Amino acid sequence: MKKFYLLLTIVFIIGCEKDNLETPSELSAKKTTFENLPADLQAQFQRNELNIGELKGNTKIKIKANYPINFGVNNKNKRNYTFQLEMERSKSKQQNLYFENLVINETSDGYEYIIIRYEPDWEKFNSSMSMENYVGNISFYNINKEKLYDFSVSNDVKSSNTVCYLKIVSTFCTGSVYAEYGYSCSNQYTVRCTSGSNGNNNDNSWENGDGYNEDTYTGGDSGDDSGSGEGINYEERNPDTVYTNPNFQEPEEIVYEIENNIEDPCAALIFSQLQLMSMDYELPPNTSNPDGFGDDLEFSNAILNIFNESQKYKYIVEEDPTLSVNQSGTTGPGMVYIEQEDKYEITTRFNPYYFQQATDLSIARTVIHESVHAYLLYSVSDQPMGNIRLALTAYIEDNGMSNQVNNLLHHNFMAQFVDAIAYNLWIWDLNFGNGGNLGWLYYKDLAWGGLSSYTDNQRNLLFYQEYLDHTTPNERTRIEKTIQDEANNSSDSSQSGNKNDCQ
Amino acid sequence: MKQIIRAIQVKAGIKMIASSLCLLFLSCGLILSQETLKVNDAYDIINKENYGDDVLYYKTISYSSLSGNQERFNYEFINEHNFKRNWVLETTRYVNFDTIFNVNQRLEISEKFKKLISLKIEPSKLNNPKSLSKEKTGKFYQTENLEGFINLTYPIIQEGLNGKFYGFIYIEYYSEGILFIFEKSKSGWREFAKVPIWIS
Repeated sequence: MKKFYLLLTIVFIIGCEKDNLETPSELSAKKTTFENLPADLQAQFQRNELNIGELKGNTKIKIKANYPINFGVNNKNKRNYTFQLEMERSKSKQQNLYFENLVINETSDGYEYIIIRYEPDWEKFNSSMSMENYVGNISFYNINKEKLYDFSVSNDVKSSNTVCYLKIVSTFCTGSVYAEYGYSCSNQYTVRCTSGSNGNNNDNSWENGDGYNEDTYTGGDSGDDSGSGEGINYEERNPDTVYTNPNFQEPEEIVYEIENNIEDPCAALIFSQLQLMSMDYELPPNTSNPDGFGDDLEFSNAILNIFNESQKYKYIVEEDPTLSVNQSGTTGPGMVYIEQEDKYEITTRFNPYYFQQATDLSIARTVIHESVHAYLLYSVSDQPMGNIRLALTAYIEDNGMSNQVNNLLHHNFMAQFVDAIAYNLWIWDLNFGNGGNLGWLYYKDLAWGGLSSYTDNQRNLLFYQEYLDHTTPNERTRIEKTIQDEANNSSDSSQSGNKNDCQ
Repeated sequence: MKQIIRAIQVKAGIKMIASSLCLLFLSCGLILSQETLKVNDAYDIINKENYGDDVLYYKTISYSSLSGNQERFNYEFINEHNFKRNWVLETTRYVNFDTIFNVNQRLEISEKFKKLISLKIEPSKLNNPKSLSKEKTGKFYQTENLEGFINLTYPIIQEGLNGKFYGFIYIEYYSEGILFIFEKSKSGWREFAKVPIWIS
């Protein structure tokens, strides 16, 4: 029977994804997938690694598997593609040092490659999660990681589009590249580039003497001749020229109906990071994962896309100091109808005292957990004949839960999402947390948080049936300890009792 | 003669005062008995749930303490989001309360929610007097030795168009909060509908 639920949900998810990929809004966002790249371009990769003859020695360029690939077309009808590269981190501070894009420009002779490295002022960057006010360095490298030039960006970047949590940085200084980090949304802004050091390339135009030039860039392509087959000709750049894209079309405004009203800076950031992760709409790598992931990782797609789905309704996250001590977060089942907006809103409230006490990893877990509640509630309400509702109905009938309101139904049904929650925790930890080195078992133990036990009206500690069915007594002891260690930031937690950087 | 008339007047006055006092006491008694009945009804509703020792917080929830959930405590929300048994199996609301309450009664329900105050629960009126706790202890995810984790509102009672009485009580359990609507019948209060408020 569980296979049935699995199948129903997978069918639902696949159905949704197909729709997403075909909608015009996706095209206007200039986003594609690896499978949709031209065959000759695909052939340049072996798995997620660039594998071309120009590479020297041990140079490795690994793109992020399953992340969206941006593309633009210039006025010569040449395309450019931007991939996200895997990030490197500081070992000491567990902080990202930089993030990089691989940009491949189509030319009449084939392709040319450039790597753009972004080294933001992380303190400012983390607080906004946006390129709107990007401050930091941007460097350009050739395919063998030899620096071409770099420059710094002060806080003069202005965005005309403030609706998205965007991390788009583009080619304001180079031409036909379109760089994106994380989110998909076309953007337009003006940037001032200070001349800065120029690395190995002394003849580029950014040494303009007077400090900066100003360049207007529109997402997709700069529209100049640099993609015409002659490559990027930095010499042609005039510091006083304002570059605009003649092909630019005002993108469809993507309004994400999510209100992040969390006041705790760390928790707000974690929510934003998970929101960014949700844009990975591809199914995660399946099956033969050496880390021993389960078969049901496809469910993670549903979880990741909670935030995407929330474009169809309003999802509000906020803090509520009146929550009981045992409640780290609650989600309102009944969606409140907002007549003025003709929308329903669903709200998750988090306990601010929990935010103060818990580790970042525990907070991420709780955010995901509550989001799954929101997703189930939304799915049942929005798609009364949808597969989620069918799966829940079958589950209720099989388990005699017809008189249950939420607790037993939700938390038993959600047990099938444990691997997916764990997978998302691992991805979050890998990209934003401790480096993803805690081991699969640790993430999976933590994923049981909220799905393991509850207290009944007689003050009896009771385990959810699915939890009992899927764990042994020894495992339960370990799991409970892990959950509590992280919730209370004990010395055995991932933060070893230390406060995180945001506090 | 004047003395006789005065005596009669005094007697009449005494009678009037006595009659007035009697009327006053009678009406007061009636009011008191009605209040007692309401209180008894309220505790009958509270006692529909079984509470173990030390699980029930000793004060009821006020409207202001409902905080972010306040928007769910009004007639319109209840009318739209009520279920008989299960929110998944039932694709539409269980009952259209417009058929049960007239316009004034609907307004009264919303007003009564807004007037909810925090009251001390009378232990002697509970089926389990030991269920009350003044403590709210426990750490996050510490499920053992939790005390006072169940919270509830003082029941609201409203008469409907059909002359029947309905009771509204919101109860916060360990992992979910539910607003129950009870209906009074000859055999007592029975669960009529429910509105899920939150899950954690």
